[in-house]
Amino acid sequence: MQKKLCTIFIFISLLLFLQQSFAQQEILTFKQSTIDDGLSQNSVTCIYQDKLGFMWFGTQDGLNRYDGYTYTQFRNERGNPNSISNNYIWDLYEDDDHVLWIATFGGGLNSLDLQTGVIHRYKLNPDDPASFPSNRLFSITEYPNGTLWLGANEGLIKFDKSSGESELFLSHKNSDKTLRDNYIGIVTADDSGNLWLRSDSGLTRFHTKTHQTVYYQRSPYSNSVSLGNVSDIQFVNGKLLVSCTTGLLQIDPKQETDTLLLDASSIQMDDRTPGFRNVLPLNNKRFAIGTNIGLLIFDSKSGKISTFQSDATDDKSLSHSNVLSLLKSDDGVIWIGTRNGLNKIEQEKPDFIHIRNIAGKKGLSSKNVNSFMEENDSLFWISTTDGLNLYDKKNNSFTVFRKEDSKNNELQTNYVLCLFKDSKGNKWMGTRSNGFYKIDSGNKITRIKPANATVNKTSIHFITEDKEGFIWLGTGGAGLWKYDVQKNTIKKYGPAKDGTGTSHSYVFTILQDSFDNLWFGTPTGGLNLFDPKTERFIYFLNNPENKNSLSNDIILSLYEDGQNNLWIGTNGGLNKLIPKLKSNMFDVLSSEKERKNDSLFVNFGQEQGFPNDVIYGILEDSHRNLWMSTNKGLVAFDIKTEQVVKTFDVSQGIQSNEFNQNGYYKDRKGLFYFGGVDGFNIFHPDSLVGNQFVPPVVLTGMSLFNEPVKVENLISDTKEVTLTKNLPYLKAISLSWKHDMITFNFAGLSFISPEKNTYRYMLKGFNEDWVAAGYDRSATYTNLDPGDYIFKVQAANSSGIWNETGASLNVHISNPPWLRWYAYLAYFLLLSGLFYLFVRHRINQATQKIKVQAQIDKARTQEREAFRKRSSRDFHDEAGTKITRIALISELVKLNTEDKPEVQNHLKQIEENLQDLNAGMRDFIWALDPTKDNAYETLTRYTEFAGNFCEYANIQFKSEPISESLKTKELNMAERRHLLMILKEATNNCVKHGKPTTLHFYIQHQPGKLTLRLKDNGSGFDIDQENTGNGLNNMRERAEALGGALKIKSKTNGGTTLTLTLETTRLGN
Amino acid sequence: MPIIKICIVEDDALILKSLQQVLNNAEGYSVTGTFFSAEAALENLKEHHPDVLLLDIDLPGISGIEAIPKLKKLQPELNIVMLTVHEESDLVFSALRQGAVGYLVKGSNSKYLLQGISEVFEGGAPMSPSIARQVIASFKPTKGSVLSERELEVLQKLSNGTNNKQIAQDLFVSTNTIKAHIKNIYKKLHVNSRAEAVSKAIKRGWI
Repeated sequence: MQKKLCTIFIFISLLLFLQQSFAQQEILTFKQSTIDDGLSQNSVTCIYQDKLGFMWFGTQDGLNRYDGYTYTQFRNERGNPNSISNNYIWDLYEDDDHVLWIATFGGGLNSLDLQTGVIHRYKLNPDDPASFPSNRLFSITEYPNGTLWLGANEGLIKFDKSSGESELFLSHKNSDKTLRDNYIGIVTADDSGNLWLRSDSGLTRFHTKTHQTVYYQRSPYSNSVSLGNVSDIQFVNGKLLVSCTTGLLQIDPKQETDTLLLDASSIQMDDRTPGFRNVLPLNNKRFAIGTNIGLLIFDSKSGKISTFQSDATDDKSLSHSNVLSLLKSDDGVIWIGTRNGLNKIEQEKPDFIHIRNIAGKKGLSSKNVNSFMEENDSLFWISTTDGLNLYDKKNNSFTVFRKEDSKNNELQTNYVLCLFKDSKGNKWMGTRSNGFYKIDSGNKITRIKPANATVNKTSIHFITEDKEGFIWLGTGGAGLWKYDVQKNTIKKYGPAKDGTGTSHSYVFTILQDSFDNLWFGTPTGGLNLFDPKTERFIYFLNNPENKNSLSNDIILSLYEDGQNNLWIGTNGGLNKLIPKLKSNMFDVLSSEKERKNDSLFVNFGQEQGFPNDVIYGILEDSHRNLWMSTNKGLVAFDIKTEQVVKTFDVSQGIQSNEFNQNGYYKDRKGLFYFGGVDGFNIFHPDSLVGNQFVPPVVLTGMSLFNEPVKVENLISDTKEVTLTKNLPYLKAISLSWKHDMITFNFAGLSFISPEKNTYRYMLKGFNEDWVAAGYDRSATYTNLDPGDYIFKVQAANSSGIWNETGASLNVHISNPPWLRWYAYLAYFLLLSGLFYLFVRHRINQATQKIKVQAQIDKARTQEREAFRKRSSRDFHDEAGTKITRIALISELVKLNTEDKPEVQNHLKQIEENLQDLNAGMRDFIWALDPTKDNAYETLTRYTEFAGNFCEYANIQFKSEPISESLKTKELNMAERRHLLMILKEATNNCVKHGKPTTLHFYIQHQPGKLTLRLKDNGSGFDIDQENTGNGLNNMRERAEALGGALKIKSKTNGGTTLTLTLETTRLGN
Repeated sequence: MPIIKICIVEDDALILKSLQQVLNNAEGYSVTGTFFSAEAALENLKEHHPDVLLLDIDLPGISGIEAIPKLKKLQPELNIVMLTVHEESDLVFSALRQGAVGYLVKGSNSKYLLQGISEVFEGGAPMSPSIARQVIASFKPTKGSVLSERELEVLQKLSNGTNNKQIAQDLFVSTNTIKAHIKNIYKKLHVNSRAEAVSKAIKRGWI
């Protein structure tokens, strides 16, 4: 035994010795990209991130812009002066005006205006001494603003951006204070106006104003080390980092000190000292150093160095060991450009450490990990399907135990299935066929051969211990075994359906809960509960008709949480036993009939957000979350809320999405181990950082009718549109109403699993709410109405952290001509015109109607009047002729009877009567004349009559002028007649009474009243006495008929005045 | 006192004969010819050459008004007096415009008739108010001769119904002056109407 111990001791020491020769190594995985992913060429010479967040990769054959998804290539195109002048890119630099300056090897300097896409070239023209001095440039720096300093093959170039003029500084062999050589590979500015240049075997300091140069072959201030070839100079936080042959030197120009941080010769990779190339400060104390044989990560605080080299068989290693460029982007991703491919480290401190098996390399023996066992704080046993491993966490090394090394073990197979350490510290192991082993303290593996039974050919799937110290074994095909360690005996419980044995011959998992109940899980036999007293079994199976039965009969894992709930991982989801665990569960749950139909289980699966329903392993963290491994990654499940909290898959560093049965373990420190088909992960659930970076959101392009729109597009027809700037820089765009189909492309610039970025967008003015786009990076709109919109887009990173500011673009869609202001004006005018016409038409119609009506009325009136006229005339003609005849005959008779006075008398009377008749008839005819229907005509007729009458009677008749306004006072036929009669009668009367010499006629026309007065100077008469006779009565009656009043005043010898007052309102005024 | 030679054109036989007798009986008047139609009168006018022609308006064939210009053509200085049953102003006014110097109402007594004829012969037949108004209206400023202020005054008074005597008194002139004014007015009216006819003819291209 002692001998054995000794050997073992030596063995272990050897191991430890070997292990010490390793530096303490960080475990990192790399994601690779090559031309197969769209990169223009695999030698990535420089890496740059612009101010918007895009990544730029310069290669030996082309420049690339990367948005996390696609590479947009910039190449020299023959015949296109707006392309870069050369494809061999050495350096990139973006200034404050968003101009990207490109140093090429062979094409001079290029400037690419990122906003407009315009490229200017500055090339050497050998025939023109004033041209740009070199075509082979290596490095660009700007100091001060407006001046670029370029390291070229031919010297140092000072370039004025605004004038485009350049000045070349060369070395002068004969001078000390000069550039040492013309090959200036690196130019870096500090903050004191100095440039630090790479020179032949040293470092040159060059002052930008005085042009004074100082050359250092050794460390400038301490002079302690020689520099050798300087490969990189970085100025960070006031200090210079110089990567050179000797190693990594830090220089403080202000303090005038320098320190060698890392001596290159202290590192051996592939038995060689690495040649230090680029240096990338990760923080104040951590540095990434690219070398010609791999990548170093150096922590100056702890002194830890991790080396990473390319391994052709490991696609998660560096793609090539010759590192050409390094950059850390804003999201924390470390980019490594190599001779053959671009690499990135997404998490410098990964959340999930991934231990892998790499074919042909020392380390984990197999990819398929299925069980864990803690030896101590730093040693871990890991079983795989091809060997047992003892893992040293401190130096990431493995000791592998295989049956082939039969010297130290009795392994019959390499296919290990389970491991278990009991309370006494015994280490048990189960394998496939011939499967029960013990590992002793010397790591020797021995077979267990129970005294009373054989274990040959039986696979052991699961090993655990009960409170009494018995070892319970889940076998493959032989049911359940109970092993007495002291006695070395096994009690076998084979399969039986009646409750005396297991429900299935295979037992995959065993759990003794804190109440000493024993639970077993079988494949297709469901869950078993064992009562040790009666040695009977209860079976729990899936009842398809009872959704609260066990969800699946293949049981993979069992777990009791801190609240005494039993969780069962099955092939069909996670189950929880509803009744809490307590003692004698067997008695509690023993009625079979009830069990079948009872609600005993709650199921959780994909419907509840699980990535997958196959639950391999269950672990609990300190916050009451269950962590489970499935076939689609890991899932964290909150017991309190019974909700899925988070899921993790390969993109986040999980070994693979597919895990293995039994491959789950929680160590004493709370670290979780999950094993699967590509090694295993170690992580602490409380320390998961995830992706905290808020991704900038940019619009990367747009298409109209699926044709991408470029800045160079000129308006040649109405379908194309000019962008004044490239979309990421554009604030607003104006589109024509003809652009029916508009697509916006966008990206969230986070490079940590960018395929997991999610998006949402909305077009304000069209969408009412955000449209969740998932992983899609485009939004298409069709048939938008003219108007103003704002397109907004937000992105969340791979951990679901949203950038809620996002990007936005104002979109104006112009009105079609028929909707423009002039169209509206035209419409308005048209409508007004139409309206006007319409109104006019209606008015015309109305007036027409009125006119027609008036015409009809007029015609009628005219007809009536014509009738009146005609009839009067006809009548008068008839009567008149007759009267004339009679008058003339009477005249003749008069002439013939001059001697007969009586006859003469009679004839005179006849004559008089005829005259009266004639006059009366003429009056009558006059009255019928409609044109005389007014007061003016009536009074005129009277005055005519009165004039003639008075002349005949030798009375002087005087009348006032009759105002024409009286024409408007209409009088109808009867009224005219009345008025005329009154006046005529009055005139007759006055002549009869008292022989007047004058008769005056007065007319007084006041508003509303017409007063007519006849005054004579005759002898008058006594009113009272004078018989009112027919004449006066007649007059009075007529006056009444006119609606007026008649007054007669008479004085004996005082004349007579007759006053007639009429209201003109009644007379139609 | 010279004898006034009269011709009468009247289609009513009884009236014609009676008129003739009455006029012949009166001193100073002599009816030299009687015609039943305007055509007959036109045919024989030259033969008779009267001083005054009494012309009825309503005639068979062409009307009295239509005959006026024809008669005036044959004998320009002929005084034509219209005979009318009623004072139909339109017709009378038309006659006056054609060149008649006055009108007489048929139903009146002989005294009035004779007085009227002699007045006409002296020049200046009476003008009824409506006629007067129409005369005023017809004298528009642009057309032909223009009425003098005095003439207009007279016309206006006439249109008001004032008789000649009264007008003469109002204007402090003799009735003869008034009559002379009226005569002139008639002349001007005739001139105007002739001028108007000419200009109308020119417009219509007849001349």
